[in-house]
Amino acid sequence: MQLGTVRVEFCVKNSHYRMSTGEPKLSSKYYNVVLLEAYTSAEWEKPLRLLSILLFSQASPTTSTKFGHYYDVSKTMSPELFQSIKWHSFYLPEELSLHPLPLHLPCKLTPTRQLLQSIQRIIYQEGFDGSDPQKKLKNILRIGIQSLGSMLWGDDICSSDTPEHIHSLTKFLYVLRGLLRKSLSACIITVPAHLIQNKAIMERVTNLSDMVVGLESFIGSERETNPLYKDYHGLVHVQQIPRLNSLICDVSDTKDLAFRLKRKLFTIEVRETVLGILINHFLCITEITFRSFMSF
Amino acid sequence: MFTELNELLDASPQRPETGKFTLLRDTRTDGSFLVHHFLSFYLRAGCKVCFVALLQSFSHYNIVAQKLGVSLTAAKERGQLVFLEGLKSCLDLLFGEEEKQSGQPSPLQFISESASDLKALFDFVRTFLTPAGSDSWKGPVLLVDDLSVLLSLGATPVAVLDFIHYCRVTVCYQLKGNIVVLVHSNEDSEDEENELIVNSLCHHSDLILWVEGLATGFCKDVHGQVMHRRARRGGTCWCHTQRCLQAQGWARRAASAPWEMAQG
Repeated sequence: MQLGTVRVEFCVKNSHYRMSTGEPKLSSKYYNVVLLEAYTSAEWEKPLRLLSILLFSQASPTTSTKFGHYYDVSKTMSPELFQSIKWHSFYLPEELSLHPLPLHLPCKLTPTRQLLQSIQRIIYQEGFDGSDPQKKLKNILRIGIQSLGSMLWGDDICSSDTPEHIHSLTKFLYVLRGLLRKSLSACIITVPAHLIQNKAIMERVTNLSDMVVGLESFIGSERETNPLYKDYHGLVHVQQIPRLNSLICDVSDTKDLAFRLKRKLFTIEVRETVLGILINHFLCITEITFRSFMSF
Repeated sequence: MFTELNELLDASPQRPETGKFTLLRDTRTDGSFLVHHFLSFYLRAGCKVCFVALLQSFSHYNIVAQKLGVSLTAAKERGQLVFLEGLKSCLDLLFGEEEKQSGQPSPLQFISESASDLKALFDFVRTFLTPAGSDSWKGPVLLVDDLSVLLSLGATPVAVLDFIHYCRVTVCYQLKGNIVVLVHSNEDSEDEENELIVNSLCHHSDLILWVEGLATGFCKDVHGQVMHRRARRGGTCWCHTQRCLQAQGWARRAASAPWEMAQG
């Protein structure tokens, strides 16, 4: 089963990430792409999961132009749920002392290098690569990584036009891609794209990802006060869709998606474009004129 | 492979061309279906193929190839296909045991910064495409998917162009084989290094297949267009014949979908 990598472009607050090996929470129809349960900071956890669900929903867009899910951002995950599942975390100061890198490896020590080592170790120890026939694979390793490419991970691509570590993010993604391909695992990553000065890096990151989704907030932009966008908080850009084990990916009919985020509801809707509104008005006017003509 | 594309290019597995450098270029869409086409084409033609697959795993290409009627596993077993799985090689390089490190240099050793050029990758290609005495295959073929990944892994544009140059000399001119390379490009790209490589390769290519998504937006029936540019080299005069087609449903239905001529 081939599983992919996802990048979602929005900021989250803290620099920890957690990997979950608990029981899947979704029904089997979502198993085709498992990018779920990325335990980021509490307020983004549910929307992140919902976004993944929504993007891979089997619902036909002709039956519903709205799809959403219910949650409550004012509540955090219950401790009982945490205690019932097996999870691993990565915290760099602890990692350096517990698992130093082998000396023979030529790469210099970086936080992302340590992160890769940690992921590879967990994949091997928990048997997600099928290397241990004694361990029956019952589940999928879900990995969530926050703010990759930011200075929290020791990179300078967010602080310089000509960064010294220009290849660190892309090399990391390539090695991560290899780890995911050879194991039963999936990963969802957030990248603060608006902070990365060198846009060439973002093009390469997109090329190395299986699925790329961008969230564009209206806050601080002219669209915030534009009446056309008054019902929404931002736009959803599905920039890339996985094309695994097939000649080409399925292309969705809908390209114009907007999201609305409330305390208990996160919805993604097919946004009516200005052209669509104009066409509708034109058709209405045409029909009114025709009916008026016929009534003479 | 796609018979319509073979007709467009006047190509046939029974009589594959020799000494040609083909550039596959995609803009606003995914042109990897052309990689699958040429992979199945040259395997059916009986050529010895070295496939440098940098972006996807072996099983991905194998599954798609089976849908096109070719088994990569069988081709590997009979020695017709040499498959360099970049993702796997990279993992072996970074997480491999110390004993493995002391063996043959990894084709992707430039990633670990122990070398700044792609000589190890070129040596890998040359070793496997140089015909052995018992080989009965037709001309060697080098297939690369995709070249833009090398930049992401730290290779400089000059190193990538040097690698392609050495491969052209060896594979196209010395061994009378063919090279097919996929690159990505965008009109408003800010990746200057990638654009430099693309422009240079366009200049040196015998055949360019440029796949573009529709500029006007999404359309259910037509995914994009394929521009076909062939260089005719005669004396000091270069001329390009260019044909532009619109492909209807070229994805999974490509084998049976009609291709319409947009311009002559």
